[in-house]
Amino acid sequence: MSPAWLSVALIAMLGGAVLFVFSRYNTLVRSQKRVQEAWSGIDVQLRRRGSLVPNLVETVRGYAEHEREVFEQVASARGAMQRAGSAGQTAAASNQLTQALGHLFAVVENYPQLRASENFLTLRQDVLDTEDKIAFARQFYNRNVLDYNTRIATYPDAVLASHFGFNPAEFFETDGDGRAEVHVSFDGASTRPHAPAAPPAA
Amino acid sequence: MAETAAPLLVHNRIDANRRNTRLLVVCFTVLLLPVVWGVSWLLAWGGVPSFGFQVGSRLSLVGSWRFNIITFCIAVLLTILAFAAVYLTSFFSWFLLWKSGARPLGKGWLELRQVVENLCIGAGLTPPTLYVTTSEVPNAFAVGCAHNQASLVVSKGLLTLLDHRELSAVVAHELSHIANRDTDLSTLLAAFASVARLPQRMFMSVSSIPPLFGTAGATITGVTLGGLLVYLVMIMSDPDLVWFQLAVLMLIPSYLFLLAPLMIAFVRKTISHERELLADADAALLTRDPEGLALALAKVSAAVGAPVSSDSAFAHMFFIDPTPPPSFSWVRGVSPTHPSPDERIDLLRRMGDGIVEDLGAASEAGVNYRGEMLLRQYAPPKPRVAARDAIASPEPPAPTVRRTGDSAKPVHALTSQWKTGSRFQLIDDETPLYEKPDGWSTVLQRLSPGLVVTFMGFEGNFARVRTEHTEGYIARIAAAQPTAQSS
Repeated sequence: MSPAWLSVALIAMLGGAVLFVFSRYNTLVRSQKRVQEAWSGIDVQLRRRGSLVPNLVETVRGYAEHEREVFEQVASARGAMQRAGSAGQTAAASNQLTQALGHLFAVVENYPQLRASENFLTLRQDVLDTEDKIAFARQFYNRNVLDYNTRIATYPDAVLASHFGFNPAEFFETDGDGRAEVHVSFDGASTRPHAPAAPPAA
Repeated sequence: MAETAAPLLVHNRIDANRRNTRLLVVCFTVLLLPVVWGVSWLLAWGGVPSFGFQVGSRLSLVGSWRFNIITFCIAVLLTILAFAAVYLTSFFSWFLLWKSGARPLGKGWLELRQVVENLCIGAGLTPPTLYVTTSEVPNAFAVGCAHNQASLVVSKGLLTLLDHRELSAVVAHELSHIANRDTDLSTLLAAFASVARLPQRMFMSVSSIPPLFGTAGATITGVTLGGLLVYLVMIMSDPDLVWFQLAVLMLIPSYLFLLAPLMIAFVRKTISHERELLADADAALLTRDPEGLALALAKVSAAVGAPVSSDSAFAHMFFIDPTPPPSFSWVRGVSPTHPSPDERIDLLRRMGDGIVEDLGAASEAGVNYRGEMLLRQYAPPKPRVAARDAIASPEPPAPTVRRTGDSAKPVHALTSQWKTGSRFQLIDDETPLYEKPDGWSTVLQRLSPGLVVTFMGFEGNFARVRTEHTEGYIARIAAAQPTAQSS
């Protein structure tokens, strides 16, 4: 083989390798952007709930002023939400707020007048719907994180990821009472969960 | 196939499916090439008039100018057809919506809206446009040529029959079809299927005239078998040009009536069987409630089979095969469009915590619903208003409507009891008022329930009506009842 051909082949191979690296890198970036986008999906719903909570608390306070403990729980959970920085902290604070709201709704059961108040019913419906939406947004976010984390942990992307500083993203975990994962298997033999985000339902 | 090896994310699935579709097109082209070659050869050989040219030996035709021109023409034609198919897909999704009588979801139906919205958040999809059909047969399907221009159609019957949990499961199943980009392919298939069945349908509609009915089957079989026989004889004997042309002509019916429907049925089976199961699995992953889907399957499969036929060319698009079992045809028997409900439930049984609830009760509910539905269809039109109330509509009809509903019999618009100049009150939410007697024309206004309109006469499937300010057409299927004064 003549040297001319050899150099052409070498250049072609080098070019191919460079193109390959580019495309892998772009895929990684895209994957990371999707995680961020999915996070903003959660964020929107968290904010929506955040804006509903003060109204809800005010409405309930009008009827049940002396239930201080519950209001304090809600207030401290809201504070934690505002301070939270990372996905893990936000998730913890969000779970805390969900629990506090659960207590609030339980307390309301003792106030028939409040239960019949239309304003309260609308607010409660909105909050419950937002809780649902948060759960679904969380599911989508966790799937994205799983996809991204798997990418940057497996060869050949792992090399690129460590070189360019792609760090694993944090899952948005819930504590147990959230919606449990379902294991899919077509032959009944394998039951490995798809995402480690939530423990199976009790 | 062990676990779902499919990619987790919508984006990755779309990429993967796009690759698969391209592969399919390439395979199809490669498969078609010999056909093009063969057809050109046949045509060059004897199918076209020879115009006085000497026809040489058969093999020498390959490479002759005539052969080349014909091959080229056919190839161009196929390319045009392929592009047409792409446009046909987008046209057909509109056609399907129109054909199913779907109307955009009016105000209300908050539950359905929320379910769709939430599941879309979970799947990372743009929410599809929602439509509802007036059909009381519970079913649903999705159409659309891109995952961000999709439409989801549910029947009123589905909303009546299913509870929140089961409705979520069905919606999740349809959203999975959208996310997996099945809607493109199945719309295209529906287009092909209905085109391929066109001659058959034309023949059937002619032959359904009673005196001809008995001869129809015999004619089809006779023409088909006769064509094949003549063709075989021609191939074996030394061909005479006139006979040969006749043989080619005789091949056309056997293609139209036998081969084309069979091919479509086969393709539909192979494609939709697996995709249905995959969509079920995806739906269970999305709702995390395989049991809900199993309950929905049990209920809906028990409730369909009502004598409300739908075009079987679209059968594969629905949540459950909507074609009634009695109209069994051998093509469909050989290749059903859906896996059986039992097979689908079996798959779901192996997910999550299995199925604890009693499916028998669910299918009993479906059977009961079906019975009631049949009663409503064959009984006097009394239950029209009652049926509306039974639907868990968040907006009950205006009190005035209900009052007149008690005194006067509610009238379905389709009946001929309407007289010109009489006044009627609309029942449905947001009845569209069209500019022309045509579902494609501009919607002038959406009329609210309880509005009184003056009836001006029928035009086709539309009724010309006058409201206080404007005049237009409403569909004959729009629900209305006479006002107290006119009756």
